[in-house]
Amino acid sequence: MSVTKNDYSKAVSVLSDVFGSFHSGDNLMKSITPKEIKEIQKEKKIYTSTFGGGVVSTVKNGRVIKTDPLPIPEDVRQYEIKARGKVFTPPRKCLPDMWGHGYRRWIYDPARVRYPLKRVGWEPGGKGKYDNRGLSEFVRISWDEAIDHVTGELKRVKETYGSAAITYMDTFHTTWGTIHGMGTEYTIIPRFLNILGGFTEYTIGTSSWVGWVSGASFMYGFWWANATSEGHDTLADSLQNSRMVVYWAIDPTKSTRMYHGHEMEPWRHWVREAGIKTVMISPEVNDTAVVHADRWIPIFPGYDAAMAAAIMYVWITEGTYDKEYVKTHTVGFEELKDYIVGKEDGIPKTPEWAEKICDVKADTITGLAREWAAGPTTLYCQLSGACRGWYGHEWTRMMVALQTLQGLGKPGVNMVSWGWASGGAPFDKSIRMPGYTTGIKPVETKLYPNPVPQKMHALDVSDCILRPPVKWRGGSTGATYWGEEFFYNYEYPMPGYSEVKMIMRLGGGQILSYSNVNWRVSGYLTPKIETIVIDALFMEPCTWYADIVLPACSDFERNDISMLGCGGLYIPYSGSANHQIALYHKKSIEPMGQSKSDMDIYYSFARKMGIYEQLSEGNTEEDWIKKLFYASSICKYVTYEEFKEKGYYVFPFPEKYEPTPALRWFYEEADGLCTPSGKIELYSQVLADFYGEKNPEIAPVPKFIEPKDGRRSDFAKKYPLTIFVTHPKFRFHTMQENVTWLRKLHKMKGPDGHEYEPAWISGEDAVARGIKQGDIVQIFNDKGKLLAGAHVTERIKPGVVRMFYGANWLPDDRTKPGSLDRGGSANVLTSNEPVSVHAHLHRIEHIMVEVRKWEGQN
Amino acid sequence: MKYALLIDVNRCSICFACEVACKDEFVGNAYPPYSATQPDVEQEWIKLQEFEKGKYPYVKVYPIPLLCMHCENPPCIKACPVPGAIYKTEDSVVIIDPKKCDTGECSTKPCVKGCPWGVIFFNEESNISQKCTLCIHRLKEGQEPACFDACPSGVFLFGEESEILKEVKKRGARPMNPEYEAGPRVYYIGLPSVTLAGHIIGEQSLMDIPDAKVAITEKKSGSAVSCKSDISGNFVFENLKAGATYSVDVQCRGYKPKTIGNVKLDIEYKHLGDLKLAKATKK
Repeated sequence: MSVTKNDYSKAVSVLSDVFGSFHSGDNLMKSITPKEIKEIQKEKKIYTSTFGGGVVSTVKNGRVIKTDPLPIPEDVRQYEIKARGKVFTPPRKCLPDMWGHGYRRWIYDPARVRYPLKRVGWEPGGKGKYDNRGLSEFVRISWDEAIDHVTGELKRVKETYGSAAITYMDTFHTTWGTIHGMGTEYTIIPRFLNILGGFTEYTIGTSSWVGWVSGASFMYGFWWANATSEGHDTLADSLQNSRMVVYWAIDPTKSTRMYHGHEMEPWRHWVREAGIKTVMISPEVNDTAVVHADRWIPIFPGYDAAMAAAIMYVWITEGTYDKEYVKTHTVGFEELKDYIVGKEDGIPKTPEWAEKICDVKADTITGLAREWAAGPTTLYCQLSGACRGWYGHEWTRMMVALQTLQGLGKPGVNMVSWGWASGGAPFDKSIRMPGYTTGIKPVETKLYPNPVPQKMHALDVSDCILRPPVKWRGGSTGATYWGEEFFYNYEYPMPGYSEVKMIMRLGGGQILSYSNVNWRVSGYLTPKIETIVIDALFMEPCTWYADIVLPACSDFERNDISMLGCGGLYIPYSGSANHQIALYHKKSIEPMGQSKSDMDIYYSFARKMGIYEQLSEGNTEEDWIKKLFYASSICKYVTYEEFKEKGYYVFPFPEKYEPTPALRWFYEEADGLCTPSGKIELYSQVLADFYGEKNPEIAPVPKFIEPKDGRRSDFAKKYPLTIFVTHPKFRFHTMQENVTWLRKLHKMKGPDGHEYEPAWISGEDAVARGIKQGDIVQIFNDKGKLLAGAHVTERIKPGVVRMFYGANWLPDDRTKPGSLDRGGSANVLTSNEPVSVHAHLHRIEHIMVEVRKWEGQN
Repeated sequence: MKYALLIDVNRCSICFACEVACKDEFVGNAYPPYSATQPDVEQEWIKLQEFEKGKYPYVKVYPIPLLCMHCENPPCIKACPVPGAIYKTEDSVVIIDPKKCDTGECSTKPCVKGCPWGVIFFNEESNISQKCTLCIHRLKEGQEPACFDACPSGVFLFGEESEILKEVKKRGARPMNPEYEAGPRVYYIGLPSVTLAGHIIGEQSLMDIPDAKVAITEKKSGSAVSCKSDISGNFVFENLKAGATYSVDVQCRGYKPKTIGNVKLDIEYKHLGDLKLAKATKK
C-alpha cells in the first residue's frame, strides 16, 4: 500500500499533534503508514503507575489527553476489615494524588530536554574551559556525537587514571519503573560500569530515614526495611484493637504519597470512624492534623526525645508500663530506667524537666502518658521528620522504647508508617512481583561485582572533590543498612586509587534534596572534574552543571512491568496500596524529541564500547519484561499475551485470609529479632562496646541530647528561629516543580511578578519583624540566604518557620555559591555537618535561621 | 433528573487532587457543545481555599472547595444579554454555551460580575466566559465529575437532588450564602461560623472525659444550647452570635461541675483550652 498525498498531509497533522511544539524525530516521517496513522488516531486507555499513584491515561492522536484514577473491576474481590461493628473496604479505584493528576502537564512541559547537548567550551580530554560550567550555555549535538563523546571520555579517563576516576551519581527518585527508572538506576547503569571495570561508588547515605537506620535498628533490628518495623496487618490491628493513635512528628496525609498517591488516606478516616482517639505531636497543624487529629500538641522540633523520656518517667514512676513484657522481651531496662529516673545523671526526666526543653506543658505530657498507658496505642511515627535533626537516632530509639514499655506486638500496640516501607492493609502475601529497586536482578544470569572498593559519601562529596583526603566512618554503602556498617572506616581517595575525574549522573534534582546546596555546587565548579554527563528530562540545577546532557524520556514514553507502589527492596509488597495491581506499563506515547530511555542510552554506550552482549545478555526491553513476567507471580494468573493486551491485572484478595499482624510473633515468642540478643535492646551492648558509656553523642540507652546549635544555644542569639524543612507537598522532591497547575496552588506572586516559594511563619514572629502576609522575606544564616513569600499563620509554633525543600534554586550567579537564591530552595540553609559522631548522614531539619522583610537589598 | 451536591468540609484532606484533576480534564480538551478548553493557568472551575480561624495553639482550618453552584435561579443567566448563551440543562446543570457566548455584546462581562461567588471566568484569549460544567460530558457517559472522582477522602456526595436533600437534612448541611436567593444546588457541611470550642479533661489524663454535658447560655437573651463532649473530650458549638457573651456550664458524673462566666466571642473561632474537672468528693 502506498502513501497518498492525502494520507501524507494527514500524517503531518497527526504528527504535529503528537509532538506538539516539538520537532518530530529525524526519520519518523519516512516510516509511517496509513495503518499506523489510524492506530495513532484511535483513542486508547493505558494503565500505568506514576510516582503519584495508579492512573489510566487516555491517549488520542498519539497524545496523552488526560489521566484518571485507575479503576478496579467490579468482579475483583477486595479486602474487608471488620472492626467495632463496622466493615471497612477500600474504594474501587486507585487514588492518585495531584502529582498523578498533573503528570500530563509535566511530561509535556516545554522545558523538556529534547536533544543531546554539549556545554560551550567543553572539550574531550579535559582540555576545554571550565569557568562557564553552570551558566548553562549549550549547543545541540547529534546522538552519534554525544555517544562518541561519552564513550571516548569513559575510555580515556579509565585508561589515564583507572576505573576509580569514574563515579556514578544516582538521582533522588526517578520516574516509575522496574527495568527503567530506578530499576535502571539500581541495576543497569552499575552493571554497565562494572563491566567496564568498576567505578567509585557514590554512597547516598539516607536522607529520609536517617535517625531510623542509625538508631531504632540498634534496638529492634529491621535493617532490611531501613529500621521501620514490619507493618503487615497493622491497619486491621489498629482499627480493631487500638484505643488511640498518636501521630508523632509526621504528616502522612501530605507526605506519604510516594508511588501510590492517597491509597492510605481512607485508612486514617477509618481510624476516626472506628471511634479511636487521635493526637498529633508536631510543630505545625499539618494537613494530617487538620483532618485527622482530635488534639494538637505543639512541640519545638528537634526536642521530641525529651518529651518521650518524660512520658516514660510517668509510666515508670506510676508503674503503668508492661512489667512482665519488659522482663521477658527486652534487655537493658534497668539501665534505661536509671537514666529516666535520674539515677544515672542526677536529673529525673520529669514532665517539668521536659517542659523546659521541648515547650510542651508538663500537665499535657503527664496527661498524654496516662492516656497512652490506659489502653493499646498505635504509634504513627516511622520515617518522620524528627529523625533528620541533631541526634535523630535518639528520638527513634525513644519511639521504640515507648512502645516497648507498652508491649510492642500486643494486639493494638504497634508502630506504623502506613504507606512507606511497611504497608498495613491486608494483602496476599504469596504474590511476588519485582519492584523498582530490584530492577533486572531477578533475571540477569551473570553478575558483575564492582572491583573498585573506593567510595564517596553524598554528605561530603564536595569535600572529597575539593579537599581530599577525606575520612569518615559509617554512613551507608547502599539503600539498606546493617549494623556493622556504622563502624566501618572509609577514606577518599583510597591508597592506589585515583580521585574522581568523571561523573555520570541520572536525573536532575538531587542537589536540592541534600544538605548545603552551596557547598554541594562548589564541587562542580572545578576543572578537577573533567567531564560530567547527565541523563535528564528537564534543565534543572544538576543539569546546568553538566558538560554533556542526554535527553531522557519519561515513564509514559517506554514499556515496563511493575506492581503498583512496589519498591522491591524495602517495600517488598504493595501493602501500602489497597489493591495488588500488576501493570504491563505500556508506552503511552512516543519519546519526546530525540529522548530515549536511560536503558537505551546505556545500551548505546555499550554497543559503542563492545560490551553490549555482556550488558544486555541479548535482552531487548521486551525481553526483560517477558523474563520478569515469568519470574513473577503474575504468570500463574494470566498469560503474557493477555497481560500485555489488557495492560494490567488486579490480584483478587484471597477468599480465606489469615492475618499475621506485625510483631505478634515476637510478642508470643519473645525472641527472634535481628539484634544480638534477639530481643529489644533498650541497652545496646553493640553501641556500648564501640562508643563506651560516656560518649556525649551516643549512649547505649536512648537519651535526650541537646542539639549542638539549637534554640537553647548561643547560636540562637544570632539566628533565633528554627526552620523546619519537610518533604514537599506540591512536588515530588524536586520533580514537578515546573508544573504550572501545581505552582499556582502554592507559589506566592511578588510585586515583581516572580513566583516565590512560601515560608510559614507564626503571627507572633511575623509581628515582631514587621512582616505581613504576602511580604517577600529573606531567610538566612551562615550557610546561605534565600527569598520566600511569607505565609503568616497560626498553624505553626512561634519560633518555628516551615518550608518544603526542593523548590527550584535560582541563585543570582550559578558560578558563585552562596549568592542569593530567589527560588527559595531551603537546603541552601542546611549544613552538611553530620547528624552525630555515630550517624554520618544528612541533617536537613531543625536549622537555625533569621527572617527579615526583604526591601530589595542584601 | 436533577443533580445536587453535598460537600463535607470536615473530611477534606487539603490534597488539591480535585483542583488538579479539573485542570487535567479541561486544559487542552474541549467537550462541545458544553465547554471549550480551559486555559493552562488562569481559571479554577473548582478552587480549594483554606480558611484559618482561631489563635495559636487553638486553630481551626476550613478547606472549602468552591465550584459553580448550578443554581435554581442562576444570577448569571439573568445577567447575560445573549439569549440562550447561558442555560440550564434538563439535569439542571448550568452551562455557558461556548459558541453562543458572545463577547461583542459583553464588554463589561456581566455574567462574571453577576455571579456572587465569583466562579465564572473570562478567557482573554478566546473571548468567552467559562466555568464548571459539572463535567456534564462525563455524566452522560455514566462517570462522576473529574474532581469528585479524584477525591481520596469522600468529601463529595453527588446524586439525584431528592436523595441528596435527605442527606442534607440528616447531616445539617446548608448552602453557601442563602441570602443571594439564587437557589444553589451545592450544600456544605462544616462551613465556618462563629464557634466556641474546648477540651474537657480530668485530673488524671488528657482525653479521659467523654460524654460530659456542656451547656452554653447567651447572657443577653438567655437562650441556651447544649451538647456532649466527644471521645476525646472535645466540644464544639457552631453558628453562634459574634460578639455575644456566653456562660459555659460543664457537668459530668463523678466530677464537680464547672462554670465559666463571661466568655466573649471576640474572635470567630474561640477555644477555651483545657477545662480541667475535679473529681467529686464522696459524701
